[in-house]
Amino acid sequence: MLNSAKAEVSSNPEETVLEFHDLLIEIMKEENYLSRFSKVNPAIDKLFAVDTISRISLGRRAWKALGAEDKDRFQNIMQKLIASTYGSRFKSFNQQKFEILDTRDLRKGRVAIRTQLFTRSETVSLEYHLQPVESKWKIYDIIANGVSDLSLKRAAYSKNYAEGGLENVVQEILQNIKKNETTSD
Amino acid sequence: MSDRLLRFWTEFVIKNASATLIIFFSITVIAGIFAARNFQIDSDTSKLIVQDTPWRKTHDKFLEEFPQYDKTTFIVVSGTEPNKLRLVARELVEALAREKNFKSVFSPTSSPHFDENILLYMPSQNLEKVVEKLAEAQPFLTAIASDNSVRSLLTLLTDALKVEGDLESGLSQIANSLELATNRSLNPYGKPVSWRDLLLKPEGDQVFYQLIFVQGNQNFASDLPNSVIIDNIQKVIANNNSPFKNDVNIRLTGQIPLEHGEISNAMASAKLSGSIAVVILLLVLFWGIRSPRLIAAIYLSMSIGLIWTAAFAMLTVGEYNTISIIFLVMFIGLGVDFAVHLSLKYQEMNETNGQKISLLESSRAMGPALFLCGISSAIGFLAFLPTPYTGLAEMGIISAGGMFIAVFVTLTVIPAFFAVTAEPEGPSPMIFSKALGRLHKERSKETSYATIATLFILGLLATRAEFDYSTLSLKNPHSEAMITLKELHETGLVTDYTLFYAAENLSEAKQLKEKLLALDVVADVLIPEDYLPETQEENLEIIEEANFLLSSIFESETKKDELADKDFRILLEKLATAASLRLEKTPRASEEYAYIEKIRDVVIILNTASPEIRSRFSDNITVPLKNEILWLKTAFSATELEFKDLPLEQRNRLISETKKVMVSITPAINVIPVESLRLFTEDVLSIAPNVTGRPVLDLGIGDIVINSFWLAITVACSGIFLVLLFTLRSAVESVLTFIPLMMTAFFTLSISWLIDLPLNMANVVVIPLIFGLGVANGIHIVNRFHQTENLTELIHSSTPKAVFLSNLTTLASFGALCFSTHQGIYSIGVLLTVGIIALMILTIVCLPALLTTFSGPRNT
Repeated sequence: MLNSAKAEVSSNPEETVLEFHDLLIEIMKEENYLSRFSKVNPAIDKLFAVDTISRISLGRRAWKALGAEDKDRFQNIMQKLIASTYGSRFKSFNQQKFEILDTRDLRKGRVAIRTQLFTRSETVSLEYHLQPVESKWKIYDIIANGVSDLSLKRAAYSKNYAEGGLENVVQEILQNIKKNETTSD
Repeated sequence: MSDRLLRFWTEFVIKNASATLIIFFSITVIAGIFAARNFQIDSDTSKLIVQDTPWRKTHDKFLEEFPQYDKTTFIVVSGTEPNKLRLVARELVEALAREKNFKSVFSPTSSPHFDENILLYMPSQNLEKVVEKLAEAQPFLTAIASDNSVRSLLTLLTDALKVEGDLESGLSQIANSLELATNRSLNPYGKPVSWRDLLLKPEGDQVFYQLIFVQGNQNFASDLPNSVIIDNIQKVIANNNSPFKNDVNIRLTGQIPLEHGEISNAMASAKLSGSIAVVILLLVLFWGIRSPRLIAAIYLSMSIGLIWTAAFAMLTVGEYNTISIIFLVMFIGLGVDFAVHLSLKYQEMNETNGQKISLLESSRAMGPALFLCGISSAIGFLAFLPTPYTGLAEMGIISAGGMFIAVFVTLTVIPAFFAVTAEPEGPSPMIFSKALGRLHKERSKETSYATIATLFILGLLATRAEFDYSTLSLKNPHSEAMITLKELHETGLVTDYTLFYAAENLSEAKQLKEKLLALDVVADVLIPEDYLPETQEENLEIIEEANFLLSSIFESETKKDELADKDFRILLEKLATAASLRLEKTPRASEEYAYIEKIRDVVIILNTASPEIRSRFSDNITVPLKNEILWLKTAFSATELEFKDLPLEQRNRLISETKKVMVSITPAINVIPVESLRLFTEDVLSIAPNVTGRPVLDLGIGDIVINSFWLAITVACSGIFLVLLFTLRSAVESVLTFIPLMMTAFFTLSISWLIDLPLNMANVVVIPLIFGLGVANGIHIVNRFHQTENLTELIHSSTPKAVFLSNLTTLASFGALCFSTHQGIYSIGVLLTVGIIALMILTIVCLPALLTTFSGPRNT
């Protein structure tokens, strides 16, 4: 069953996921964090709905309180966080394999694609949630073994915001980026 | 002529004393049976005051349109865990609906509509917090939603514990949940888990409320008309066996419980005060009279009079109301007075004369005075007869009858009694008669002028007295109904002082709203569309965003494979191992250590238990949580509400069958002071002349009561003054007799202002009563004044002592009223006590001085 939104978009959502998986395999073959990061960073904006992720992980009240400049700044940091996360997590290639299982519709024109990642030691289930953005499908959430990344972010950032406002959230994200940079080489 | 009649009657009674006593006794028995058999009470308090007014008609018309607002009981279910409240309230609503006795049962917040749309009704900040909590619980809930067994949950936990770096914050919640589910599997008869509270309850101790509005049928033939309703509700509550009943508070308030409380309070007060009065009376008599025979005569006379009066009440008025039943208590102190005066006079005469002569002469001397007292007291009581305050008017009829009965009984029973018994002991002097005698001998002129000066001062002070318009102030402030009502006022859930209006249609309602909101005194005007969720739009946006996060919970696919017990145990072991390993790396004092340990301990218990327990554990987590997830899915699919989407019951409370539209108006100012209440009401009336509600009723009834009060005082004073003129035949003396009464009245009003005990619907009877009762004292003193040669003789005669004692006995019964928790009756007790004490002093100290100064003694 195709929904109308899908028919309007020129590509199909599986393509985005495939592209993302290919990218991950590529960076796993890179030597160090910096080269991985520089490869993955420019692709983030194409594959991920960074604005959606920023808006929803920060929460409505906090997002509305931001001026246009701060919104841009936050999205830039978010993009960097996403890139650095994958840059540090996928650091060596050992014949890992991705497999797309199936696609199903979610509410309001969004889709969910179930995939699996096979490594030497385990199988990880990765479910991608995508939304149509102009002519492309972009990822806004990845549920790894049942844990939604977007929910994790939202839970963490609302606590940070409650304790110290936007700056506190930004600090938290910058610290995570730093951790990614330093623990992966 | 009357003198001859009196003489004849007294002689007749003395000659046929035994027969008289026997006849009287028989009549008393018959009267007693008659009174008991025909005992009836109409406890409809709305009938106490005739309200033949436009505002009453408006109110009644409004209730015809919107009958749901009349005579309601609120069942208030409160506590800190909202879901438990909801479950208990829903069970109560269902049970109440099953009972045939209730006209209507309405509970807006426990309806399915509210349950499904609760996210729209919540304040936006609360909704955001709910979303945050769900984000935190997402892994847990997805694990449940996506699996029919606990496999995903156990795997989730194991993976989480193996991860390097910090643990997720949601783990402590999962640990608690596991513990609760395990406990329940081990003890299936314990309390079930309230998952929704566990997941979503906000932090802190905020109290939540569920209100159930119930209407039933009153029974006015019973002395407690609302007891059927209250008893049935209490029965339903007692029979409820929700496992969460002990975690919530269930209380009753609203018009019916408040009235019920008030009436049962009044009844109980009457009984309590009656008993206390009888005891105090006995003590007073023993202290003052000391002669057991006299006391016996007095008590006998009083008891006979009381029973005859009860029969008289049934013969004339036919029924009691909540006010007139208090009179039975008052009679104890009042009926005794006549007997006290006559007996003491007899005792005094008996010192110097034989028995027969003493009896005759005391009757002759006291008879006219007693009649006069009876008449003037009756006038005092009947003062409310021409007013619309029928409650007091009926009491007046019964009381007036009681006074005449008391006179007749006294003049018959006392002589008859002493004709058959031995002579009484001699009199004892009044305690302060010596000091009093000296005062009057030496300083009567100064006393007179001081009295007049005080009169004017007290008069000025008296003008400060206030009338409390609020019908709530009569209720016992410590009753559950009043305390609960106050709580609801403070949380803003219920406002008592709302004005209501039934508009012809929606456009009139809208226009009215605009005009009314322009008034300073108006805080808010609600028309039907305002009952939709206030922040609907914002909440819908929040829900929209939340769906991005939560679709992994709501829209996950469910693995259907079963979990064999063998595999279950393997998963448990893996989890136990992961937990133990993690514990080694965790600092002992940390929070994480606590809940990881909890997980490990729970897992070990499960692993070593029977397969049945493991299976129960699985059910105890998956089944209820899946239900909650289903509810969440519905709640998060909420769409914009329009008026037609509200449940029918709720719409009917806002738009009547004849399509009239409800408009409710709340005040912006504090309307407890009556001037503010009047300002609010009149400002709104100027725009909407047909508004109704408690402000209008309280003001209207209060105004009627005040007008009745002035009318009654006028009737009492003029009636009594005329009687005095007619009998004393001296304008000067009538005025002089009046002075202590006026001073007492002024004094009582001043005290009312000083101790902040304002006049109210109940105690307006006090001032006219003081005139009626007090004039008896004056008459006795004036009477004796003319019979004696000088003031000293007057002071040392039996009269001041009789005045003193009879006032003390009256005090006994009125003082007993002070023990009541019914604020109305209590205030009657306090003010009458103050009044009687003042009266006593003024009559014994001031009146003789005034008489000596301004009117010479006359010999009769």
